[in-house]
Amino acid sequence: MATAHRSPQLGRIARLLAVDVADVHGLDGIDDDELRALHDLIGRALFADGQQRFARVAGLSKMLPGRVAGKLAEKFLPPALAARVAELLEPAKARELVTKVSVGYLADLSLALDPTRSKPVVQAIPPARIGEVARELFARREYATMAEFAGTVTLEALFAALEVASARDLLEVVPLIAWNDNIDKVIADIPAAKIDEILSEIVAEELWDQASYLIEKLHPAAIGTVARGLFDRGAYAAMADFAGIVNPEALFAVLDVATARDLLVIIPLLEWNDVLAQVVADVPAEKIDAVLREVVTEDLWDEGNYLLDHLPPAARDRAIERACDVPDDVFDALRRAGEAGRHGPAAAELFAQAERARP
Amino acid sequence: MRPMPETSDPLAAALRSEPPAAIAALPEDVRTRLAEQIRSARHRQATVVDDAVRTAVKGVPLPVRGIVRKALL
Repeated sequence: MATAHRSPQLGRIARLLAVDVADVHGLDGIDDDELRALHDLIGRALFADGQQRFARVAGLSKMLPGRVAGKLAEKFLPPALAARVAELLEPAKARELVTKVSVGYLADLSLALDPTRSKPVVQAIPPARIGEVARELFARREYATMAEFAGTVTLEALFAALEVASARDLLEVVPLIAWNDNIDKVIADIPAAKIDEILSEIVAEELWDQASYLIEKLHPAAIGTVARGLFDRGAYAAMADFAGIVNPEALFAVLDVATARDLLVIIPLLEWNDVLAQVVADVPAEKIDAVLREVVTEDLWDEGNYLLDHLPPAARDRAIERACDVPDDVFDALRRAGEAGRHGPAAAELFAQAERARP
Repeated sequence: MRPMPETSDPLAAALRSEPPAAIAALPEDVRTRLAEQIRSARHRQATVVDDAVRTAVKGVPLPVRGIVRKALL
């Protein structure tokens, strides 16, 4: 039975109201932006009466040494109230205080913070501390909160959070994020080692369906890194899964980094579809030449025949066209393979046409 | 936030503001339940604040108790 999608914003509203998310019903189908606006209105309504007192507590923090203020806060100020006070702190004071309270308390406090009102304060927090809180929130699977803060924190803090995220964390949180330039920069600059780590987890846990959204957002260069990593470790089955979920632009990035042998090994594993046919039809000439040479010089006729038998007509015409121009040694090897009965039907046709057309 | 001088809508009254359009268009029973949940949460929150203040004033070390009391009460 299909599970109805439940907006993570409902979880945030339930938390604010201190009720179970099941008690916030009747809001299914409401747009996330409207639910977010409702969440913020509820937050203001709940805490409007206490604003003066929260401001006085924030002011009090200026009069106490940071260590004392931090200890007092953690001991006496419930996180939901500490969040209201934190939103009113001077950013420099917040920067000092976050080092004086525990990560667990900061995580509790973050869950109650308003991402918009707290932006100046959150942006003053050192990225390393953000990373520690992110690790705690990821451990608690608080993905909706993480996603809300992705638009609030600095670029450096986003990288710090990325550093501590597992692949599963990223796959959970990325679809919830309201995309912006900072997120684009982070995704474009994910370090190769991190991509490798994420990929290993995706492959090991077969998270391809969940990974498709994140992979769509990856820059072609990052796609190439992913693909090269899979080819290098001989993970052709995983590469075939990967190729099955990406768009034509990403498939071209895969093609760029694939060797002729990679292509010959992976193609029998692919589920043929329109995207694949489109990419194969536009394969660069030098790639076709390399594949032809690999087939004849390495005697990969099982793979070569499979490929030729499955090529769309336009791509097969291009292969014939290339076969007309291959060097003599390659063409001789093609001929010998035919004489040895190694050609499949498409290879035989390719050879016959190329032989007629060669000068 | 737009001020809400008077309204017959229980949700708008609880929010002290007009709700987003899609929320305002929800069936009355849903809006009424939300309004009750907001009112309950506000009362609970006020109790939590009062308790936290009392505990803080009683519990903080003597050297800072004076300024804490002044700030909180």
